[in-house]
Amino acid sequence: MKTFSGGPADQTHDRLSVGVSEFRVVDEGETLVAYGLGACIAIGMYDPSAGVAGLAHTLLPRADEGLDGSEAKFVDSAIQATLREMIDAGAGYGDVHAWIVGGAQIFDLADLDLPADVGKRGAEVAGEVLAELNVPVVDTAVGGTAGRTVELDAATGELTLVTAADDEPTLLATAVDEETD
Amino acid sequence: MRLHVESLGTFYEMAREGAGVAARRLTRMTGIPTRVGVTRLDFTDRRMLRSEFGADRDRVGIRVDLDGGLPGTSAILFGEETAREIVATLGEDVPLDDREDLGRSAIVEVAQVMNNGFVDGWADVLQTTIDVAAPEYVTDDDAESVLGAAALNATHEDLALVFRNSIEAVGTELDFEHYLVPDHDAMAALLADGAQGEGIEHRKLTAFDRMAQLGADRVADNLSKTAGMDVTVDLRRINFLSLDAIPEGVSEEPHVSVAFSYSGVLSGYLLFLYDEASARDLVRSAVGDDATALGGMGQDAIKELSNIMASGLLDGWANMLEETIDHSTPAYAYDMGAAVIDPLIVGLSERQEFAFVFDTRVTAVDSEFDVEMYAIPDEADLEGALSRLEPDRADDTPATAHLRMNEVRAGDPGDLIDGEDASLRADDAVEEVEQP
Repeated sequence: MKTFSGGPADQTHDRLSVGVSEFRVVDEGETLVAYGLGACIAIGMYDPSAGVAGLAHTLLPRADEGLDGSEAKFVDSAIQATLREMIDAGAGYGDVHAWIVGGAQIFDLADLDLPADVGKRGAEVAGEVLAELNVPVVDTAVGGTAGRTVELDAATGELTLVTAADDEPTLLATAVDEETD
Repeated sequence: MRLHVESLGTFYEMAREGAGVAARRLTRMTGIPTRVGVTRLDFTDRRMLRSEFGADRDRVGIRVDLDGGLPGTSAILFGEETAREIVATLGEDVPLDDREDLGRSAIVEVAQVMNNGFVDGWADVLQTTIDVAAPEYVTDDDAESVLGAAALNATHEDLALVFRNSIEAVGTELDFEHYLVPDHDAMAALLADGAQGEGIEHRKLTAFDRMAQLGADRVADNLSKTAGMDVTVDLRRINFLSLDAIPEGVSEEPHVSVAFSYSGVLSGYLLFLYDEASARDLVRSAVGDDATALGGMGQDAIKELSNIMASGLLDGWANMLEETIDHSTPAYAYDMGAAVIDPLIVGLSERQEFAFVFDTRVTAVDSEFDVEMYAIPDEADLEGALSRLEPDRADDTPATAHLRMNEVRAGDPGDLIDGEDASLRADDAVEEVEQP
C-alpha cells in the first residue's frame, strides 16, 4: 500500500516526473513524464533546433477562474511560464511547437457531482493561448474516457501516450510529420 | 486551541518551501539532482507515530531540537543504501557498518545542511527566527531513538501533528524522510495566531479523529453483516495536504475504481481503489466470472461492495454528527490510480486548495481482498461539521446504524431502512459473494 509519501517508483536516470500543478523544462535529452492524467490537461512544448522541451501538468483552465495557486495550476499561466522558461533555456520564440493532451471523462458525470466540462474547457483554453502566442499545435489527444500518461523525450522531440488499456505507447505527430504532410 | 484551515495552509506552504531549500542544498553538496516529493501534514496519534520507526529499515540520520519561532523536534533519516551513497558521493567511502568513523560525520554533515535548509525555508515563510541546537546522530531503533523520549512524550497522545517531506532524486533511489514534530502547545499558539474566523477547536479535532474511526468501524460491521466478510479496517491517518499532491501519492498502476459523491452536513468525494487481482478474486467468488475483463456482473458486484462500505463510512460520520449524509450511486472506472483520483481533485480545486484526506485500507482476514479508500471532504463543510462535534459523543453513538442503500442493480435509490432490514437487502444485492 502506497501512502502519501512517495512519487513514481520507476524513475530512471533521465525520466523527470512532472506532478499536478507543475511544469518542467529540460535541455539535455531528459524525458519528462506526467503520470495518470484524467481530467487534467498537459501541454508539451518542444524546440527541435535547440533540443529544449517543456511539459506542464495543469488542473484548471484559467488563472482568473480559480483560487490562488501556482502559475502551473492553470492552463493559461502554465503555458506562458513554460514557454518563458524554455526561451531562457535557449529555445527560439517561433521555433517551438506544442501538443495538448488530457481532459478525459473518467467517470460518468451522471453518477457524480463533478464539474461538467473542465477538461474540455482546459483543452480549448490551451488551444487559444497557444494560438495567441503563435505556437503551432502539431497534435492533440483530448477527451475520451481513458486516463493517459504522457512522455516527452527531449532527445528526440517525440511525445508518447500510454493508457491503462494499452501498454503500447502511442506516438503523437511531431512537427516533422506535419511538414511531411 | 483552534485550528484554522487557512493557518494549516500556511504551515503546509512552509513545509514545502523548506523541502525546496533542503533539496537544492542536497543537490549543491552531492551533485545528485533532486525534486521535492509529497509534503503532508498528518494528524496521527502517538501509537501510530511509534509504529513508524524501528521497522528493520536500518535508517540513520540526525535529530535537532528547535526553539524560538518554531519549538519542536526535527529529524532527518536516510535509508542505509542512500546513506552509503551519500558517503561515497562525498568521497568518503567508509562502510556504515563502522558508524563511529568518518561515515557518520558525513551523514551528520549532509543531514545538517538539509535540516538547515528546511529551517531557513520555514523561518522565511513564518518570518521568524528559529533557533537550531547542535545535531545529534541517531539510528532508527525506535521512535524514542529518533525523536527523543521527551519530544515523543510531549506530543498530544490522541492527535500528534507531524510534518513530513519527501525529496526524490533523479537517477538514483533516495530513501529519505524528514519529520517535524512541533511542540504541541507552541503549535497551538502559532496556528491560532493571526487566523481569521472561528476555526476548529483542537479538542474537536480529537473528535474528528474518533468520527473517522467510527466510520472505519462501520465499514467493517457492514461488510461483516451484509457480505459475510471478516475484514480489518485500518484508518492510518488523516492527511492535510495540497490537492495537487494527492494524485502523486496514488499508484499509477491500473486499478478497479469506484467513486461516490456525497452531500449533506458534509459533502465531498469517496474513492475506492481495488488492487486488480483482489477485484478479480472478488468477482470470481461473487459471480463466477473468470474472464480477463471485468464484465457487467463483475462490475455490479464491485460497485455493490463499495456501496456497502460507503454507506458504513458515511453513516458512521452522520451518526457522530447527528445529521444525514447522502451519497450518489457508484461510478465505476478501470484506470490508472492517479487518473481516477484526478477528476475528483479537479472537482474540488474550483473551491479549495487543500484537503483533509482520510487514508484507509480495508483488508480481508482470510482472503486477498485489499482496497484503499480515500475520503476527501469539502473543506468549507468540514469546518462547519466539526464545530458540531462533541469529543465524547463517539462513546454515546448508538451501535445500530441506519444504512442508506442505493440499489445498484434495481430498486429505488436512497431507501432508508434500519440495520436489520438493510442486512437482508444488502445480502440480496451481493448474494453471490462467497460466504466464509
